[in-house]
Amino acid sequence: MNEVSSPKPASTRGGGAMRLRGLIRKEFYQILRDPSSIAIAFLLPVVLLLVFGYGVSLDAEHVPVALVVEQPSADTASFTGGFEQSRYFKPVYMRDMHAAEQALMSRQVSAIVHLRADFARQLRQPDGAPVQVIVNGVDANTGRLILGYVQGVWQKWLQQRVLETGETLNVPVQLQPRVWFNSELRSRNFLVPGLIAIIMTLIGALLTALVMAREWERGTMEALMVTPVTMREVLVGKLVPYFLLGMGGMGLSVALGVWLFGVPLRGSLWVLFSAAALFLLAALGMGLLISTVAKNQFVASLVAILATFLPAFILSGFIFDIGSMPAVVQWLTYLIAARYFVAMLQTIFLAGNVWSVILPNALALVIMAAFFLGVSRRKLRKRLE
Amino acid sequence: MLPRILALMIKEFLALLKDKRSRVVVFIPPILQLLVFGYAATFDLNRIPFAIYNEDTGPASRDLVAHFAGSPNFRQVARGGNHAAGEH
Repeated sequence: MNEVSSPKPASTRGGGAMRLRGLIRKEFYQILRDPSSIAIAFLLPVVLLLVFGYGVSLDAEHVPVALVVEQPSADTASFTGGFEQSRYFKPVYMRDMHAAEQALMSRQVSAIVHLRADFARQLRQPDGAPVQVIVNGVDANTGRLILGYVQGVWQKWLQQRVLETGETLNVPVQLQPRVWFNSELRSRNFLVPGLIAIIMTLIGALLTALVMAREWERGTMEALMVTPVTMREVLVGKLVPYFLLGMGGMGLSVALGVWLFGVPLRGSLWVLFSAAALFLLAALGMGLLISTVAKNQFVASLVAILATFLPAFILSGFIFDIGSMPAVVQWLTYLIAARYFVAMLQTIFLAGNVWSVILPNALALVIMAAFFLGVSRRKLRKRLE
Repeated sequence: MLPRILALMIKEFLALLKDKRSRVVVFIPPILQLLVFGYAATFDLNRIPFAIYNEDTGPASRDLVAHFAGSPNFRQVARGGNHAAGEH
């Protein structure tokens, strides 16, 4: 049974709009009566945002650190005082290195700061006093953060000492850093926008990956085919309801991000939602393509998760910096729709409407959406086999 | 009982390895994911694009700038003697 593609008389055009309305209505009833799609669109973002938003943090705060002071004195006290004032550390005093090493080994502390017995005496020598720092580097990222914070405490202590003793500290160049866009350096501000992109990837692909496969699985596709609807109408009829559902999920995610997680939204809402609309079209298109080809709900959802969620998680710049990846992997990231959305979301949330970032990424999404929808349209034929 | 379990295990392995589709499913995705994600998932930062805004033309500042340019961690993408290039 080939597709009815013969030129139709103009009078059926009105019928087309009616058929489309009917299809959309059918899809809405199906959504309402089988609330699994509603759960995907509204429950999934809430659960994922709560789990990841609170669970994933790249910050290191209240790091337990062992302070081994062999001979307490006024000098060591002023040095260790810096650790107590810092919100990054939770100091634990220990008298000997052996206990500290045991604690580091059993992960009770993440670092050891060791002041030798001659610390106070060496301090007055021209060479200065050595301070031993041992960091647990299993988690390289946290290890580096801890090392940086220890240096921060040390530097602050040095500066204070200079003020107190009147000695001169000879540093010819001073850094005057400013952190733009996320001045508190809160990793959550950066993670939540990326997370919204991941959630939308999952919603978009899952919502549509299931629907077309479901029609095949239940045999209702055959029923649809004997009606006068064209496959384009079936496609649009599937797209519109799930698009609205996806945008609802987006609205919910943004509301949670701004009000629950306190992420600043510096760009305008309409830019944010236009970007989301473009991305959703690409994601839904990809889901439709998957389900058109898979024709089986189980396979379709598996492929949807493998082909969209994992790459979006790792290759989108959500957590891992794309610029630091090997060139071959960087090329691969251009195939991931989430990459463009993550870049746009991070910019819109934290920096504002920066058109030099938004426009090229939007263009890429337009191309991807057109590609996926176009291919699904071509793959979808009124054919039973 | 043990021989029966053993025989079942052998049968499962054979069923898995004889079927071309399960062979693909078992071996290809993990290898691909390991290769792609293994290289991608790193917290190391390198080739960080940065801009230099240097008002001084003396050798000391040039020497300092050269240290940035020579580092594999940084990649200079803009240089400015005027505000437009340095601050935006």
